[in-house]
Amino acid sequence: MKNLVYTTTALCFLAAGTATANEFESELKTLAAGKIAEIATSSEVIDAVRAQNGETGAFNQAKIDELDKTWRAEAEAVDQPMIDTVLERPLSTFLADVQESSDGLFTEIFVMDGKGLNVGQSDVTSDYWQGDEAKWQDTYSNGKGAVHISELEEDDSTQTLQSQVSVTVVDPDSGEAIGAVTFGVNVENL
Amino acid sequence: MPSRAILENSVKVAAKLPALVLGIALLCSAGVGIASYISSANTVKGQAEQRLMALAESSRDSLLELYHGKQRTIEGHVQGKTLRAAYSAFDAAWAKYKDKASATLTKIYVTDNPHPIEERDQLVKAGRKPYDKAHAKHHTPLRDFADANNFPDLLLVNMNGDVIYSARKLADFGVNVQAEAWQNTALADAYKTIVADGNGAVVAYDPEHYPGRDNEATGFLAAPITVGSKTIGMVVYEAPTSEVTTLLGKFAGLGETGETLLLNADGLAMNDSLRTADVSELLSDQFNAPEISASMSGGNTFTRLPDFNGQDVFAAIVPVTAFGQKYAVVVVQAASEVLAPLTTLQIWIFASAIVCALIAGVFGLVTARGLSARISGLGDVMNKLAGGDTKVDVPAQATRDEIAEMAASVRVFRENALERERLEQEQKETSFETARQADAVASLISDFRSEVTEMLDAVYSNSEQMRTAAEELNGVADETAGEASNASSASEAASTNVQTVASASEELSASIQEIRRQVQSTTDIVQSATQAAMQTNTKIEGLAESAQRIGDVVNLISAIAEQTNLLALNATIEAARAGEAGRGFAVVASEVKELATQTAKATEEIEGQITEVQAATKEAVSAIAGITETMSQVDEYTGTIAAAVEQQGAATNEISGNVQDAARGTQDVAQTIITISEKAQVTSSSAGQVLNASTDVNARTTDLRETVDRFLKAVAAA
Repeated sequence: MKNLVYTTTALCFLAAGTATANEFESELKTLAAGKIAEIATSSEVIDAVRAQNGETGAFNQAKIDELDKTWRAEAEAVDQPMIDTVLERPLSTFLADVQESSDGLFTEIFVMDGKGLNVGQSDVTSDYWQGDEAKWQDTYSNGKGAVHISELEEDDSTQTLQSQVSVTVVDPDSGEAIGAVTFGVNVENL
Repeated sequence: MPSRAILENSVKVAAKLPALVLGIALLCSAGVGIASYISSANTVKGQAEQRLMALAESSRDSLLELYHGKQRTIEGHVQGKTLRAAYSAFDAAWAKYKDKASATLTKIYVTDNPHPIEERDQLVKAGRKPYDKAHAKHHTPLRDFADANNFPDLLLVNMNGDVIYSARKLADFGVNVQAEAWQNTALADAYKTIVADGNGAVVAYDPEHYPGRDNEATGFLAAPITVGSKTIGMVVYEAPTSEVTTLLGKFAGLGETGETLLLNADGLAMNDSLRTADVSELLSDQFNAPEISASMSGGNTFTRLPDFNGQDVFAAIVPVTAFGQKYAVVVVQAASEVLAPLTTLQIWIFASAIVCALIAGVFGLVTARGLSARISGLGDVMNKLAGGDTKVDVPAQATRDEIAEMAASVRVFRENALERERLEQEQKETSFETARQADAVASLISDFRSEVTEMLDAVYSNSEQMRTAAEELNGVADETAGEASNASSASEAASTNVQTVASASEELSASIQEIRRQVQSTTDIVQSATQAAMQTNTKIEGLAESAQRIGDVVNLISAIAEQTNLLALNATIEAARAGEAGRGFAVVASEVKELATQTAKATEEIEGQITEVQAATKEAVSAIAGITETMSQVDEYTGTIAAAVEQQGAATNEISGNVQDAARGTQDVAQTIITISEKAQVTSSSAGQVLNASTDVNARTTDLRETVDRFLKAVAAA
């Protein structure tokens, strides 16, 4: 029953077509400053991002596109070597643990590097590169303290009414943005 | 006589009457009993029919509701978008695995399923692969749907015949229904019907043994998944057999033996009877009967089935059609239970009939016996009267009925007969009177004579006997007297002896007393001697002590002497040192030394004396102990003597007592003897009297004889 109400509400918002601000914006902002910031500043995240930046800093767009294509193909396939590599990383395990212990609050967590490529993630995503999306652009480019809150939507892969909250990952030594992290938040569990 | 002959050939009233009464009673009881039994039997059967039929019809209605409900649910589900989306997702994901799909996915979702077999549906997300994503997304709604609608399982089958999804992940997950192991199952048939032939409706499969559930009876409902008019796959729901079992497992109104069964057109049971918890009736063919098959094409039937799975039952059969197939709801109850009230009734009717018949029979018998007794009594009297016996008594009648009137008439007959007899008699008597008198007198005389003679003879013999007896008695009395005097002297002798014994025992007693006294005084002496010895002992102890003390003092003196000696020695030395001036002192000193030496000697002597005294004391003590022991021995002996004396005293008393008894005894004997003597005297004198009397009697008898003789002669001559 609850599901139905929320779905209807969400659909109403979507149908309206306007970028109506997320109803839960204030709560999500609080979350972003709280739990989410905690994880974004954890050493597991920062170290992993730094390490990957060392590798992918040199990638050009062509390379990025190639990787993304491979990922998307693999996502539909039975053999998923690239996906498996990323998801078996320690950071991914860490993020999966965080998601599991969040009691259903987080539906997905993924960390992006300086190019917008996935560093680690709690579950498989449909694509590898977020660089062309607002969630990375609005955070990474805006540096420290930036928060991006997406619109509410009924997510296909997680089947919940959720909003994506993204924050910048900042290198504590230099104070500069080195990446971003996105949390899928199940607003029903807020 | 003719009337008597007829009487002997027909049945007596005594038998007819009770037989009649009994017969009527039995007839009435039996009639009523049978009528009421038949009526009740019909009522009971009628009610049973109504009840069972009602139950059957209501079961049928509930079943139809259930089936229709399921059908509507399935149709709704099949037309909904969720099922289609789920099916498409699973189908697409399955295809990605190509020919490894079955093996890989069975491994992940069945073999390596972390949950126990009955909870395998709890696995939602098993990984990241396409199938896993589809499963994560669509499994929960499908499983919840199956749970909510009581479908034990839900399967999705693709156009190839692969079971691409099942909610419970049992043995049939991931198999291909066209494979050899599965091609005889309902799934294979459904696949052929729906996928190959394109049937558009819900198809139902009755429960049958299914390999996918360990050969348990499993039924299915299959429906096509379509987009427009094109079938893209098939969904199979496992039929809710347990729900049907529960629905039909209500035993309200069915007593202890009633149950409801659903049979299909092949006569197989479609539900499990909850009466037997450990046996499953599902798919049993033991419940089929031609009436049931007939009812499926006909209509409601109520009948009796003597062999329904071995039971004799009443059955209400109601046909029902569902999913285009024919079934029958059969509600049965054991005939014995249905007819149970009748058994009780039977017993009651039978019992009452018997009781009534008995009462009537007894009553009839008693009345009949009474009547016939009176009739035959009267008959007897009349027979006797007719035969000339006028002495019979007409019995008195208690009631004033026809028989009493008959008795009165018979009485009149008897009176008349008696009167007639009497008149005849009188006539005869007058003529014979005279002749008779003379004869009578003669006979009187002879009779008298013989009688008297007899009597006198008797008297004579009796008196002779008396005399003889009296003489004998005399003789005996004399003898008795003689014997008595013998006895008397003997008892006197005995008495004297007793006296002697008595005095002897007196003396014995006296001497015993003396001994006792002596013993007592001995004991006393011994006591005082012992006491004296004790006192002596005490005194001697005192002595010993004194000796001891003396010894101590002596020791003291001895010591002093020693000291004095030493002193003297010292003095001598000093004196020597002093030289001339000390010479006088030296002399004194040597004197003192001398004294000390003497003292020492004296003390030695005293010690010697003390030792002697002590030795003497010890001897005295032991001597006294010896004396004491001797005393106690003597005491023992005197004690023994005293006891023996006591015994003797007791014995003597006994002797005395016995002697007394003996003396009394002899007294009694003497008394008795005297009495006997007196009695003998009396007997003697009485016997003498009797002798005289009997002699007298003899003489008188002779006189009497002569007198009678004279009289009789005189009378005979007259």
